[in-house]
Amino acid sequence: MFSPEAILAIGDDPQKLFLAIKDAVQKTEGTSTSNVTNVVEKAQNGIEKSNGQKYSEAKVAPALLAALPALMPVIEKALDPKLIEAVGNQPVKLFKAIGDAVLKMDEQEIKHLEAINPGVDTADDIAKMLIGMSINSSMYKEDIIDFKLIKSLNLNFKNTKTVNFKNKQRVLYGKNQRIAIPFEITTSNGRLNKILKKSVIQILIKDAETMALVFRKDIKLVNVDISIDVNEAYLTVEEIKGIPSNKELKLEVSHVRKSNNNENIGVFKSHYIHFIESYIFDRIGEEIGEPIPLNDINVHRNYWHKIWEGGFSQSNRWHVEFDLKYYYLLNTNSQDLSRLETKKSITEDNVESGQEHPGRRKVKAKLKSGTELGMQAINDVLALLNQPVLEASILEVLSKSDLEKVFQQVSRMRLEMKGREGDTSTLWAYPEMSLYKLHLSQIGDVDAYGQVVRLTPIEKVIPKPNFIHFIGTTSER
Amino acid sequence: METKLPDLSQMSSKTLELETVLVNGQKLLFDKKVKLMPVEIEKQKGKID
Repeated sequence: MFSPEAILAIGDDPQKLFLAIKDAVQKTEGTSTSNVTNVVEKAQNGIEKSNGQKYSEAKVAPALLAALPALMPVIEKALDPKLIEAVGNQPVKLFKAIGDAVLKMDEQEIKHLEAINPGVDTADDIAKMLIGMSINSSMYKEDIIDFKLIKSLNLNFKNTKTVNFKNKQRVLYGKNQRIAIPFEITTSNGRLNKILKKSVIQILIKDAETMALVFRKDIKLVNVDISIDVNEAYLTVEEIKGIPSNKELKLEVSHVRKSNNNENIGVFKSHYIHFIESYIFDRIGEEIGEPIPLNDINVHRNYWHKIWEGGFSQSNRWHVEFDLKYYYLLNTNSQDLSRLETKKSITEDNVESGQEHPGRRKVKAKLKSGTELGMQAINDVLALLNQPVLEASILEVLSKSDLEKVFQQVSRMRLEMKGREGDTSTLWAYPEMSLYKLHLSQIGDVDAYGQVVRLTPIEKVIPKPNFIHFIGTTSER
Repeated sequence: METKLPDLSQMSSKTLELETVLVNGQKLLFDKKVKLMPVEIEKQKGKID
């Protein structure tokens, strides 16, 4: 829907972006709000795919980031301060969180945003944009309570503690104990002196990246006094067991009741949290010493990979030019070292099927291959390099972390192999391994609510391939 | 018999052709050393796309 030029023109001007989306919506779908999500998704697709070029979220993000001052009242209304802090300068994540909150509001409430967002064209535009930037509403299943947000009330988490983790203050919970999530319900003038006959606390835990629901719990309350803290939101050890560890999650607590008109009304707030078992993977730090070549084909045979072996007959001489890509990957779901299937595709050949072979055969081909390390393979390399191996609980934590992404590496090389009729040539690869500092955190102290209040930094050593040698050999004549 | 291959990546293929360095019983043609670079990929088990 938007040309690259239009995107460039929009630049970091949020109002222009909102207007462009509004214009696109009106042109294509009229002003009905029922299909707003689809329309804005189309608009986004238009941004991303126009003219065959991909405009990633990162291109749009600066515009959204610039819109934040205008949106701060909404953000503060819907999100906990700790969540805003955890989001930091990741606008896409922030907009997902806001969009998630907006889906809980009805049209009237969204219109209320107009008054508090004078910098934006209309509240409708904000809603469309936020819904478009957020999750798919289909994930809201029947068992998730829909309710109208009570604008005059706030739900605030109580006794929230954060610890510094991955350069941010974050809310962490221990995995092996009951957790409690106390909260208060307030107005701008303080607490309400009120006892609610019947109400429900709904606890939702979602994957922070995808917003997929990973846990839901409803707690029915009778005669709850909201003039004091509400201490009934909790998760048992048994319930926590099924929730992923060491992964960023969005915790959402809603307090819902029936209005006089028998409508669901309530308040809610969100946190970004992690559940921690024992250790947390923090990062891979600096390299220790020089790379170590695994250059002994007998001792290090497991790390030598025969990528290609062959030759050509029916021509006196042959010449192959490979455009080679070789990957080193980590598979946290496997244990051992394995080879990735080598893919070969011939891009040029001076012999066509059925043709007579020339004196010199010339072939060009693309090769793609690689090696994948499993978790035990990490320890095998450490042992080979006379380093202490990682204990099972650390391997377990690493296997659930984003270490795979850190490990993904590639090298690209053009290589020529040549020979005479009947010669066999071989292309090998072997790595040079470097040792790196592995930074982890271990749970120190946990408070009565199950929150981690102190982390102890731990340092270990982990190997990672740093260089690769491509070795070409030929049979001796 | 020495099975450890020294780093010969500084030697040109032409120079290596004149030497007789054996690897797994075959004559060494070249040794190219390349730095691995971070990459983002979508992978299926045992395959790269």
